[in-house]
Amino acid sequence: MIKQLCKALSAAKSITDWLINETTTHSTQAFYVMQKLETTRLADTREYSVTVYKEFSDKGVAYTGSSSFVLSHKLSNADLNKKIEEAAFAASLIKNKRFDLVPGTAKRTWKEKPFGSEPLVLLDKIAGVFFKEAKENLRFNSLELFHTTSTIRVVSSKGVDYKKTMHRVNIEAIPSYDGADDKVELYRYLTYSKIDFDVLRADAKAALSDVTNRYAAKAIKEIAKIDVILRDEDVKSLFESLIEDYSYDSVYRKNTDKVIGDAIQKDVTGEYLDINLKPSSKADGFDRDGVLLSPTNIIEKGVITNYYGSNQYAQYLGLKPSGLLATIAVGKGKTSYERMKKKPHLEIIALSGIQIDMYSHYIGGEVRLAIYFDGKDSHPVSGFSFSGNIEKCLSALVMSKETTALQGYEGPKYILLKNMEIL
Amino acid sequence: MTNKFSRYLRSKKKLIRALIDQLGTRYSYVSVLGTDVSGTTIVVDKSTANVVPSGLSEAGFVIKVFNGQIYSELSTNEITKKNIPILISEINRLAAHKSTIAPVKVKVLNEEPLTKRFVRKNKGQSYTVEEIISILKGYVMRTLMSSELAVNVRASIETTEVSKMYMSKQKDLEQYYTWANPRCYVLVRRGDNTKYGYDGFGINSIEKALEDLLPAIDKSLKTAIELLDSVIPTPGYYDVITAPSITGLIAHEAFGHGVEMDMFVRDRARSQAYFNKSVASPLITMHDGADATFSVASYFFDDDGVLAQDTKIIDNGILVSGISDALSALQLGKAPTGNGRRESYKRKSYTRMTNTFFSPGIAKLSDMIKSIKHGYLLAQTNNGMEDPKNWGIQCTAQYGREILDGQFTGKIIAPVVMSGYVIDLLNSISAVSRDFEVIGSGSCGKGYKEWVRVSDGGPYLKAKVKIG
Repeated sequence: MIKQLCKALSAAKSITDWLINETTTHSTQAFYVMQKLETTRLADTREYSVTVYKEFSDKGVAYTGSSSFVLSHKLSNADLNKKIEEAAFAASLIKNKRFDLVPGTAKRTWKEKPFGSEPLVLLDKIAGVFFKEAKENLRFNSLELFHTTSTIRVVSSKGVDYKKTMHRVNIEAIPSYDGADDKVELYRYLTYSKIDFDVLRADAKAALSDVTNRYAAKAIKEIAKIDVILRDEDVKSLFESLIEDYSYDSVYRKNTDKVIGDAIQKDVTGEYLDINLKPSSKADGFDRDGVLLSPTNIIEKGVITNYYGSNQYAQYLGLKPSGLLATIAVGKGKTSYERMKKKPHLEIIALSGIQIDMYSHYIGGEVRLAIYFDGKDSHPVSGFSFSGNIEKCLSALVMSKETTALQGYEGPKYILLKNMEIL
Repeated sequence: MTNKFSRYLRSKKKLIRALIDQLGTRYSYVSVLGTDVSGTTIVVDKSTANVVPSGLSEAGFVIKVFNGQIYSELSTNEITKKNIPILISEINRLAAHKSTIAPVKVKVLNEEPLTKRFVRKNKGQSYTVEEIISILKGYVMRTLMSSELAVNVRASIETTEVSKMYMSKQKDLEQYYTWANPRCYVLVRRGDNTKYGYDGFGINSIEKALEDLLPAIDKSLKTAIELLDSVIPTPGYYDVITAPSITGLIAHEAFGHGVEMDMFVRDRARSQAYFNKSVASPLITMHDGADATFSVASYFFDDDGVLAQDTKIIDNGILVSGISDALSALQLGKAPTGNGRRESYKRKSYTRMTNTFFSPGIAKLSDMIKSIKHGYLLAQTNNGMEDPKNWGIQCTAQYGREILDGQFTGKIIAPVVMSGYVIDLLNSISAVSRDFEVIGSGSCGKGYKEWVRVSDGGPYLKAKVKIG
């Protein structure tokens, strides 16, 4: 089908340029209910996103208009030409500042190493690893496994023809504990680009251990303010929020009043932040526009050094595009996890969802499970919320030497936020 | 908009019937869901415009079979005469897979014969892309010129037309309906203080969507400017009045997720043990259903081929019913409620909410405000998170207006993160207004995935909540 598309787009006189994103997905899925197999699924799909561009000028101003459409199945040549003409007309109405498409280099292909086993067999083994760690009253009431191979190809009128193939296993696990007085659960979403059964086993064990703690958790005693330790996904969410407004399009739209050279940490008494963006793997060679990807530094020693993002908006700011980079990489901290835990603190294991509003400088959330260290002993606690001022948190930020690698994040596994309010 | 059922899906019916017949010789249950969802999102702001496909766009099929033990599904883009043998071979391979994990004990889905076509067209005038861009650009420029504090304004409209087809040994259903989602976002700045306002709603008339968007932008600008003087709330317990969007968020997060019956099958919902028991103030009655009211989740049949219904979940404080997809209902020995929904043809069907709301009461909003000694009127949904097993709740409102001795003080707090225990919150409701509004601007995930378009709302509620 891509040949038909390229031919039709190349022949279309009403457009200046075009770009095709072809996504081929082979996904094998298994769903387990109360540790028994309920449903198996295969999703074999190929979809196309087509963008047409039209350069024109009006009253002496040059514009590049664009418009997109999606295709999931083959069209007749006549129907396809009609779609292209409709998109071309829409593009002719879009008066966006002129920009150039990414020029292509030689045709290139990137591939990750596949997992090896037949997907259904691999998912079966993974389910077995999880269920082996369970006991009668401590188990995974729901387990959903997704083995996905995605191949993305970008082809454009400017000579881009890149293809990348990546493999992931995603797991949604609901560890559950049935006690004498109550039943509790937690939520886990895990992503793997390599299958190491020891790692999977450790993750299953940790999930079951955490939910056992949730059962034992008591309401927290009267504490007004305390240091809070965040870990893993919550740390990732915080760092994502910190750089959200420094993308080219966000800067172009004036979502932030900060510019390169401005500090995002003020009156620093804690540790300085270094934040980079990088491709999700070696095979993640290019973005949807065909920009070849390489790591980009965004924050260095708490100061904005670069913006990031797509080709179009980079050009609007007169900058070389970084491309759309999927992984945020944060420099590790100077403080060991053990040292971080010496003073009274709350270590948050599970939140309902971290709430961050950069414009109001707010951070907080409802805590489903935390470990409270009172200076002598540790106790699992739940049923409270924490909140604080994010600017103050950043001034006194403490980051762990220990690092973690999650989907979309590499960096300190733990951070400590000082003097948060508890209710 | 074509205002017609998909020509593409209809062209596949004969092939699909042959596929069902062929698979039917081997499997006791066979169905095929076909989807063709198309649409356009037009976005205009101060300096750019974009015309892109609606985020809901998709076209594909789900072939589902029962092998006597478990259900298996194959999602594909193409059903052609040429690839039918490949599809059959793939589904046979999937259904024949010998797992080392024991299967659940589930029976075959029984269906009554039904053949029906449903159509709901876009109401009012239709517009070209050129006309919509011009109208949105006018709204944006007018708003930017109305306040020197406005840094950027974004106005958009997403139009969607949905064609779905469900065919099985017993059923042959078709539905076509349309929807429009106008949205706006206004960014304001005073010195280094930046805030924003936003709004969005759903309607099946592009004409009305464009008409109602302008006052929504004006309101968002006003709110954003007010928010420049907002303060972060002091954590504590407060009497509050929830505006319909926050009322809907509470209905959705507090009890909607908790009565999704695929959660019952997984022993994931505490509410399972509370049927015919009090779970809320006697002032509270709650519904969900694609046929319960008219909003963005109003379809005619669900992705399992079950007709839309109106399910009363809470009746005067008593939990009376859950909602279900076909497979969960089968496992629980219940009748399905028409709540089986897929994020797309590429994903599994789960029990999902549709239009979820608390019913109106008899109180007057002005009396409710007068009754507050010190508290807030909370408005504009930001996000929420469910905890159906342990009945925790977190709902975030964009802002709250302070009420002191029954009067608004002009002070505004933001953001407002409410949390607590579901039953405490629902039992604290002491007044329910006679107003009623359902807002269809958002999407709902199950956990952190499987996004579907939903609406929620209701009247104004007076309750006591923890803000932190």
